[in-house]
Amino acid sequence: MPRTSTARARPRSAPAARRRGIRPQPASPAVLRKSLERLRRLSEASGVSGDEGAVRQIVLETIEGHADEVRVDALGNVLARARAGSRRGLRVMLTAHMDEVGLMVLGVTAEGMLKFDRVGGVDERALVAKPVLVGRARIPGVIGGTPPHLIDWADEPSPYKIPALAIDIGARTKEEALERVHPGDAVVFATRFERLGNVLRGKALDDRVGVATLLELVLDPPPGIELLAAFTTQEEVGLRGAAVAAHALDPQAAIVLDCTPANDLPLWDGRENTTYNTRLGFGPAIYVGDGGTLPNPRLIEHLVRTAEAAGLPYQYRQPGGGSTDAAAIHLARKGIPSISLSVPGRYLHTPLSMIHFDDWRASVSLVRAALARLRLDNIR
Amino acid sequence: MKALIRKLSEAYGPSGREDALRQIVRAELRGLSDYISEDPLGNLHAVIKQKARSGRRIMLAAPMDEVGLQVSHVDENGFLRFAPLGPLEPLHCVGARVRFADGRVGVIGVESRGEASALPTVHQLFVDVGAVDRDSSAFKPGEAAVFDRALAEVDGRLVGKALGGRTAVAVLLETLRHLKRTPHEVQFVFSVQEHVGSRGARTAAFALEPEVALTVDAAPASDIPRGSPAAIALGHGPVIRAREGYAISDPRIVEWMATRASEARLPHQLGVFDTSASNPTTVQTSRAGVVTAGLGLPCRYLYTSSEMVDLSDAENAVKLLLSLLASPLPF
Repeated sequence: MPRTSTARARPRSAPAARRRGIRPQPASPAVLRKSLERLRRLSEASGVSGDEGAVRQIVLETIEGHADEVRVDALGNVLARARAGSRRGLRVMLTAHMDEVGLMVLGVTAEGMLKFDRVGGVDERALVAKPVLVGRARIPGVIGGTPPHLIDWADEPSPYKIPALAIDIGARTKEEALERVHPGDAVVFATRFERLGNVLRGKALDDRVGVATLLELVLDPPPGIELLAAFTTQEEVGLRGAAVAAHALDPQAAIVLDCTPANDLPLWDGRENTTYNTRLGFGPAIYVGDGGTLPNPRLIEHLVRTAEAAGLPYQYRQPGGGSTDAAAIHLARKGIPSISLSVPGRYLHTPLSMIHFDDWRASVSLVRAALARLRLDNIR
Repeated sequence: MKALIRKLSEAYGPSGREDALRQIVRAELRGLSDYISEDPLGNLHAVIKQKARSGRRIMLAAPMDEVGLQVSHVDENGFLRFAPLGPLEPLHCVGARVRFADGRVGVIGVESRGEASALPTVHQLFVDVGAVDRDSSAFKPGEAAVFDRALAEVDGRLVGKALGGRTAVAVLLETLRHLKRTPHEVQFVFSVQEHVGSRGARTAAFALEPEVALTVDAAPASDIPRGSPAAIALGHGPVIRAREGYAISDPRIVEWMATRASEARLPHQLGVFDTSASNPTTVQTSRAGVVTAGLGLPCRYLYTSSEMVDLSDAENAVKLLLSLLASPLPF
């Protein structure tokens, strides 16, 4: 992308912006193929909060030799300063969280079944009969429960809830099970990543899609800013990695790349759905306020103007509850102007999440264009 | 002080959009402090530098923001669906007029419901801005509105929107204006995003590194029909908060404030609140810890379009703060 002028980078109108080279170039087919393959690997890797090692490995491998400074901090965050970024530009932190919601083995019954609990907000309704992978050795199992024929609803009112379920790895005794798994092992859903036309589906797209985007940015950083990338840990259990990453990096602004629920299905009674949070196919979702953060108003404006100038689709993430790493980041130190940008995803925190390829690519283009023209004026 | 409170109360400033308040406060601060600065979240700091070796770094914080709502969706008929911004109660919404940043006004309505006596949920509420359909609506998700109410005076008491918090802002400004002598570095913080979790005060405390902090804010008054027996009453003086939700005030400051108020013959009340309006915890746990307590201004009907305060409580709060700041700390 051509460098924008060093004077005021804010365009007066969209045509002027285009003349100055704001319109983003889509990634080349080769870059796209690689990035999609990377997203597949990231989605299928195990990375339950607190045990993000496999995802971290992919991140480190990918950026090796492409960043000026890479370190893994005490909480397991990967902090990288992108190469070729300007040392005199604004210090901007970009984050995506490596961890996913999942399960953890609590213990093994005499019959060799694994009792478990949730790590983060896994959708409890979606557990029974799902194939899973247990521990770093990825031992296959299935979440077992009472067959529908035999449920006595009066006797067992919640047959699909965690106390009534156990993971079956085919062991016949406790001893046999303990040869392969241990209490404390993290458990992920055994979902293969697939592309069906414009639809990408797989597990943990929240937030592996953000990780994939951030990797693309580190490999090919936008000009004009100093890009500080933080691949964070333990987001799903309380934004813990981001809090320490922000303290360490002490940036002038932060953009969080996440994946947020799309609850955009029609309502059962035909009324207008007014609480969809986001909608698939409407472009990346710009945050205007959630339960943890009121984004910097000038950063909201900057993203909106950039999208409009570049002719990129965008939508607003409906204000309300929920939060992202921005909630921890914007309160770090003396305060850090922050905003989140999410790819909308259906069925998040279940074994299978679904995003639109186009929404993802537009989010990459939008954040790239927004960073290239981000100046101090945009956050003051 | 009344004119100042009116100006502050009527200004637009939902959490995260405190620009108008910042402008008013900045103008009022002119020439009053050694320096003024604005931090990345938008807090204003006005600092009086330390004048004597016996002085300490004392932070006084009051919130600029107010409760409001944020548009979440423009429906097919042009009605605005919204999410609360801060502690907005559906009970206080129906029929209220609200105002957006640019002055546009709307009225909050409620869907027809089977059980009309039940409290509405926020999803059943909408803002009617006179639009007829979505396409002609100029509103966008994220735009924020606040109650639209002019200040009124009822039998010597003041009634208005955002009145409790803004009176606290006025108390800080008046204290600064009349602060002639103090051994301390006094850090006046006009904070942002207080109503969504005391976020501004947290970052301001990190930046200013106070040793002692007093958060000044509205305290819910319960001297109303069937109110609490341990009533905080309007006109009985500022409230020295011993506890506020999870925040336990440091007993040294509580005692210091109570003793000084008694010595100066200033009316005051001791208050214990199980829930927290402003949350001093975010200041208390900043960096290596700050000795913190809260000073409250009794306020009825908190977070409604008509909060009520008694001017004498504000005046006595100013006198108490001036008296506290005049000499070295006893601890």
